[in-house]
Amino acid sequence: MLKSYLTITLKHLTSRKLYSAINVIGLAVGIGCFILIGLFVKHELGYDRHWAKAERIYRVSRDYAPIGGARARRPASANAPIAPAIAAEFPEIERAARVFGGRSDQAGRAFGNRTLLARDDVTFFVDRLRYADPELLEIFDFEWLAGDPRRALGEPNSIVLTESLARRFFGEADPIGESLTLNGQWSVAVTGVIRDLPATTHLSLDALVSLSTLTRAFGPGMLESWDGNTDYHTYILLREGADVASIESRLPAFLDRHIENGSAYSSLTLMNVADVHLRSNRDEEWKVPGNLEAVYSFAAIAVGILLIACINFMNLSTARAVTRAREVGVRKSIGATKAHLVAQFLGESILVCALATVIAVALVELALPAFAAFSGVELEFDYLRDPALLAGLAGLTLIVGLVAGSYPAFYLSAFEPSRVLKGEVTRGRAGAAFRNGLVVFQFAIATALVIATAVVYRQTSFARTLDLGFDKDQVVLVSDIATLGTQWPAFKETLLTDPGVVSVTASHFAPFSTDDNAVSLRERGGTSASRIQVVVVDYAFFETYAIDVLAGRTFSPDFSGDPIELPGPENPRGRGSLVVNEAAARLLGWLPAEAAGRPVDIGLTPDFSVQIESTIVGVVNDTHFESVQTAVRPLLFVLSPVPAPPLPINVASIRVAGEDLAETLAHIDETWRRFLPERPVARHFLDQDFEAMYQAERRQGRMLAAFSALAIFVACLGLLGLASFSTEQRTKEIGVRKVMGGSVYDIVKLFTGEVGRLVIVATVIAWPMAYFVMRRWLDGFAYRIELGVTFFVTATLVALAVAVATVGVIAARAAATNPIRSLRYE
Amino acid sequence: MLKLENLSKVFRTSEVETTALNSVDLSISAGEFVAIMGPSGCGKSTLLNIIGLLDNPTSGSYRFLGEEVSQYPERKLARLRKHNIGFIFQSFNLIDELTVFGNVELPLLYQKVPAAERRERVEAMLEKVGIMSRRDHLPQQLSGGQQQRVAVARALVGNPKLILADEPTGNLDSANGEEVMNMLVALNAEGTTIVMVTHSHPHAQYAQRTVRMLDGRVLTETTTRAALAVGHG
Repeated sequence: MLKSYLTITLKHLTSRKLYSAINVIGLAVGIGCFILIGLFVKHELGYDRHWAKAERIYRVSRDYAPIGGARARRPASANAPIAPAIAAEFPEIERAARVFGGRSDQAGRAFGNRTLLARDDVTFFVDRLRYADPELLEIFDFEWLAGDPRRALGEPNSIVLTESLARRFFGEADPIGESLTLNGQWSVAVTGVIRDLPATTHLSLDALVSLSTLTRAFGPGMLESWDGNTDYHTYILLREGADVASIESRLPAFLDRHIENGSAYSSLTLMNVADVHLRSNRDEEWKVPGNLEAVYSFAAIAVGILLIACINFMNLSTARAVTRAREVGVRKSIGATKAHLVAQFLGESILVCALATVIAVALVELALPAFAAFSGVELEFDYLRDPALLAGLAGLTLIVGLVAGSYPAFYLSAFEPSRVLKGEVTRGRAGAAFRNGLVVFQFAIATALVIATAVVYRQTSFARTLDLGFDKDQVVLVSDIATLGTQWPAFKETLLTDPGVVSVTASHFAPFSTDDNAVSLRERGGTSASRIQVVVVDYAFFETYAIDVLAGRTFSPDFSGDPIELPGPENPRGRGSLVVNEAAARLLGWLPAEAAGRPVDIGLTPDFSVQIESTIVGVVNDTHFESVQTAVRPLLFVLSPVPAPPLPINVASIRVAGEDLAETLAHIDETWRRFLPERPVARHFLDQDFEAMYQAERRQGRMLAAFSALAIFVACLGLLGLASFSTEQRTKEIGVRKVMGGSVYDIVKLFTGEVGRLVIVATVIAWPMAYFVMRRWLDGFAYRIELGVTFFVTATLVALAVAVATVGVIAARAAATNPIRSLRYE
Repeated sequence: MLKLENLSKVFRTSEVETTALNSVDLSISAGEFVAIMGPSGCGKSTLLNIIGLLDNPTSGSYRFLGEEVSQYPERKLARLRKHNIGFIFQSFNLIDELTVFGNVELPLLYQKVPAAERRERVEAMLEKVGIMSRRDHLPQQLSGGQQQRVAVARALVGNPKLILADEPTGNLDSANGEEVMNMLVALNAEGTTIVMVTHSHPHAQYAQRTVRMLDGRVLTETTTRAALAVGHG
C-alpha cells in the first residue's frame, strides 16, 4: 500500500514540475527561515543555562532611586562589601563572589579599562581582564584545562587565563607557574587555564586575577565602602531548596543594618543568571544584552513566513484538486474509507515537507555565514551531533506537513465518488472563496512586515542623521590619558604642532559612553536643589566639538577662576566656574540668558555639607551624547585642565583636519610613544562608537528586511502557482473572450484585478496590526519619526505592484496564445 | 442478493429539489445479469450508485446481502463495498500514475491481501482479460479497449459477488464493445451477479432482464430473448 502511495506521490511531484517546485521551494524557504530564526531564538534563550548550578546562581545588583534631576541608577553590579556580608548573614546563601573590572566592552574601551599584560618582550592589551574572589570558581563551573579551581585564585598575584590568551603568550608550552607583568606594576603567576567561554554567557572575560591582588596593592579600604562605586559584579550561589522570595524580603533590612536609611534610597535585586541576557536591561553590563521583545518579534515572523508557505501548499493542492478527484473516486469505489484517503494525502504532504526540510537544511547551512554577518550572532547548527535538534527538525516536518496537508486532505477526501466518477468534477469553485481568504491572510502578513521594515529603517536613519548638537566626525579619541598625569598639557601642545590636528581637548568620558556622577546644584541662597550629571572637561571642549554657546562664555585660560577646585584645608569653599547645557538651565527654571552669570552652590553631598561656591558662566546647546532612546540629560560641565583625582579627565578628543589622515595618526602615535614608551596607544574614532550605538537597531533592521523580502517572495511564489493554474483552467474562457474581441490587456486586467482586490483587502488587516506594533516600538525612543500614513500606503503599493506583476506576467502569457488553438483543446 | 423497496433519492440545493429516484422497487437475485435502460437524467446512474453503496437513499429500504444498509455510515458502506462489489465505468477511471499492475492491485491493497497472493491474483486476472503483456504500461499508453479490460480486471480481482457497470461500452468502438460484453457474459456464466446501465439496445440484449426507467421510476421489467437463448444455450 505504501508503495502505491509513494509511486503516486512521486509521479505527481515529477509530472507537474512548476507546482511541485513552488510547493517544495516555498516550503523550503519557509522552513529555512523558521530554522534560522529558531536557532537565533534558541541561542538568545540559551544564555547561561549551561552552568551546572545555573538554577541556584543569582546576580545581586544595587539600585538607587532617582534624586532630583539625576536619573535612577540601575547598575548590573553592586558595592564591594555586599558579597561577603550577604554570604555571612544569609544561611541559605552558600557562596558569594565579586568580579571587578570593566563595564560593557565599548564604554570600557572609552574609559581605558584595558589592562596591559606583558611577558618578557611580548605585550598585549587585554580588554576583559577581571579581578575576582576565589569563590567565583566554585559558583561557575568553568572548563579547566590546567590548574586547580579550588586554589587558582586563593593567593594574591594569581592569574587564570583563557585558552586563547594563554596561547598568545605561551603557544603550546605549559603556562602554569609562569609569570606575567600586569600594567607594568605587578608580577602575577599563572595558576590556571580555562577553556574560552561560549558566546552564550553574559560573563565576559579573558583573564581572572585574584581580587586580593588589588587589596594587597591598595589596602583593604577599597573593598569597604558600602556606598562607594558599584563596580563589583556580585554573584551568589543558593543552597539547594533555598527560597529566593524569602531572601529578597529580608534584603531591605540587610541594607539598613549596614547603611543608615540604606533601604530608603536604594535596594538590592536578585536575578537568576539565566535571565540576565534577555531580562536585565541594566546599565554597565559586560555585554550588550539581548532584547526579549526582538526575540519574540522574530519568532512571530518565523511563524508568519512558515504560515505563508503552508498556505501556498493548501491553495495549490486544493486548486489542483480536479486532477486528483478521479483518483479519490476510484479509491472510494473499491473500498477506501475517508480515513484511508485523509491518511494518504497527509502522508503525501508530510513527504513533500520532508523533501522541503532537507532543502531547507541546506539553505540554512548556506545562509548561516551571512546571518552571522548581519545579525552579529554566530549560530550553531550541528544537527548531526545534536539529537534534540534532529528530533526538532523531524517534529517540524511532521507539524508543517500536518498543518499544510490538513485542509487539502479533508477537502480532497470529501469528494463524492458518485459525482467525480461521472466526470462531473467541480472546478474547485467551492474552495475558491477559502483560497482567496488565505491569499488575503498571506498578503496581510507580508504587507505588515514591509511596513515594519520601513519604519525600523527610517527610525534608524533618522537617529543616525539627527542633528546631535555637536560634530562627531573627524574626532580621534585617545584613552588612558590619566596615565600621562601632569604631562598632559605638554602632550597636548606637542599634538597641536601637527598641521593635521585642529584642536585637542579632554573629558572624563567621551560622547556616546555614559557615566553617572551627579551632584546637587542650587542657586546661592536658594533652598531647592537639583541633582545634575557632571562632565569634567579640559579647555577647548566646546570648540573641539563645535557646540553652540547660547549665552555667556565657555571655559578659557584668560579666567584664572575657571578650573574646579575641591574644598580643601586651605580653600574650604572650593571654587570654579560652571557651564551648563540648556536642559540643565531649564531644570533650574531659567532661560539660557537668565542662567549665565548666576552664582550657585555645588553640593558634593546631598545635604550640601560639602560644597563648592561657583558661578554659571555660560549656557551651551543641548547635545545628544547618548542614544536617541534617551532624552537629552541636563549636564553640568566643570573644568579640570590636568588629569587629577577625584574627577580626572581620561579621554582625549583630537579633532583632525582629515587631509593627510595617515600622517596625522602617525603623529599621534609617535607623540604617545615619546611620552609613554612602555604603553601602547589606545585610540579609535568617535564615529565608531556612534555606529556601535545603533548597531542593534541596524541589525534588527537588516534581519527584518531580509525576512520580509522572503515573506513576499514566498507569497508571490504561491500567487505564481495559483495564477498559472487558474489561467490553465480558464484557457477556454480566455479563448472565447479573445474571439469576442478582448485584447491581451483586457484579459490581463481581468486576472490582475482579482488579485489586486485581495491585496487591498489584506491591508485592512495589515495596517492596524503594523500600526499597533510599530507604535509601541517607536515609543521606546525619546526622539522618533512620525508614524505617517506614507509607510502604510507605500507598503500596500509595494505588495500590490509585486502581486499584480506576478499575476500579470502569467496572464499575459496565457492571453497571448492563439485563441483558436486553446479552443480546439476542448 | 439485493432488494429495494419504496426507495427514493432527492437532491437538494439551495433553490431546487430534484427527485432523482421516486419509490423504486427492485430486487435482483444472485447470478442475475440485469440491464438498466432509460433516457439521460432518468435516475439510472443514481440507482446504480445507491446499489453500489456509493450513496445513501433519502428514504425507503435497501437490503444488501440480507443487511438493511440504507442508513449505514460511510465506514460500514466502504467495508461492504470492498469485499462485495466491483465497479466498471464508462470513462474507465484508471489512475494515470499507476501501471496496469498497480491499478488492478489497488482493491487487494485495501483488502489487506498479502503481497505474494496479491501478485498471483493480479497476474491471473491480467491473463484472464488478456492484458498480461501490458502489465507495466501506464493507462495512457493503452487503447480504449485495453483500458476497459484493465478496468474489468480491477473490478474482478477482489472476487466481488456483484459487478456494477455504468455504460461500460460507452467510450468504445463496436468491436471493443462486443469484447467487453462477452467478458461480462462469461463472468455471469461463472455465477457473478451483474447490473449494467446502458444506452445500447443490442448490448442490453446480453442481459437476462431489462429494467426501463423514466423520471426516477421503474417503468417496465422485461425478460429478454437473448438472455433466454444464452441462458438455455
